[in-house]
Amino acid sequence: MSAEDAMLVRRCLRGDAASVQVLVERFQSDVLGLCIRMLHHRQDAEDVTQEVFLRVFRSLRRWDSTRGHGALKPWIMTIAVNRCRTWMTQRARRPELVEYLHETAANPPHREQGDAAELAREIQAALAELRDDYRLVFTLYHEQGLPYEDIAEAVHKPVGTVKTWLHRARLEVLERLRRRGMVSEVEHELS
Amino acid sequence: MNCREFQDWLQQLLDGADAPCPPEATLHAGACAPCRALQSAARHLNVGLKALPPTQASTLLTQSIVAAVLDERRQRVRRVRRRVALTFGLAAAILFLMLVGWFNQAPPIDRNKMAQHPQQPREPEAPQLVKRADAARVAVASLTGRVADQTKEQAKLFMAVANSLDLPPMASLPALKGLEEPLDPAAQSLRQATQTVASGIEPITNSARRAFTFFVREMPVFDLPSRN
Repeated sequence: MSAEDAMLVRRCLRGDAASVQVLVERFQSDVLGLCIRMLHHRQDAEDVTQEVFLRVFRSLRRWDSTRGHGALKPWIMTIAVNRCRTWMTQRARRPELVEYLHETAANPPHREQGDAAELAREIQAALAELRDDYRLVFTLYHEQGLPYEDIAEAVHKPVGTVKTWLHRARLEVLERLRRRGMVSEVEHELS
Repeated sequence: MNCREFQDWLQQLLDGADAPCPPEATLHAGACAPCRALQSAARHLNVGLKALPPTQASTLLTQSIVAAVLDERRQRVRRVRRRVALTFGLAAAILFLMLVGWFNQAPPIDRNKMAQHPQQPREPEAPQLVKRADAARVAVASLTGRVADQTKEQAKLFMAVANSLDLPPMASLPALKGLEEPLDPAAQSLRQATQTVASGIEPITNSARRAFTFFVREMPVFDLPSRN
């Protein structure tokens, strides 16, 4: 993947419009997913996603393919994390009426998906209640699949801190699932 | 295994560790209801995370991002080109000015020639006031000269007329008796008044005379323009 990323970056730097589109299509879902999870607002998330890619292409020459695992995704996710944090700070400074659109409401799962879908909805609701740092590391780890080292680099914290935050985030989510009755008492007894 | 160790093992399980459940954990979960509930919730969490719907970005968003990126790149290229052109233009202008200055500069000074023909120190220019005083002096001199010339001409004419007349000598002229006789009282009072006025004016005239003498003495000598 890293060699492929490097090739893609070289083509983008040469000004190939098709490669630009390929790069955007490859990573935009991850970036948008993180932004939605962090901002709880689809329109804001799309705006931030666009900003993220503008910054990515602005500083694409500075991307070091020898750093980390040589993959492009952690670097892009780092930029996304920074932009989300900046956006949240700016939004906190200007108190205005924002109608948050939770993904659970925006994309209701199909009824036939059953318990798994309901469980996913509960997990999303639980994530929305987490504090920002916990939600960030939980999303980067469980949804984006980044390793601890890349998350630590993205959030500018030591790996130990990331592990602690993730541990607490999981406990809070588990506690909510238990409180919401997603774990049956019978199952408790059986397990 | 205590609750803390059980939770650590649970975290490893959520990290994706594919190890089988150790017997100590099973034993602890059987004895501790909260830990058993946590273990069950963790299993549900794993299932739920896999069921999370993937975020779908709309095609419109992709097109918008690509268009924005390409547009920004075009603007950047245009900006760089403009900056380069401006830099080259400035450099060319500076070079042109330097060449013009180099071609128009004065020839180099030969120090040997300077030693052979040393420059005479220039006299300082007269101040403006002195020039004006000189002009006034010339004007006064010409006026005075004109009056003197007229007087001289009249005197010459008078002398010529007088010489042509056959006049008796001054000694042979009869004495004017009337002038020696005392004046009548009215005339005397008039003379006294005249003398009084004259004596009153005398200090003023003396002062004026002294001032005029001083002025004439202090004025620099100049040559009157000759008439002939």
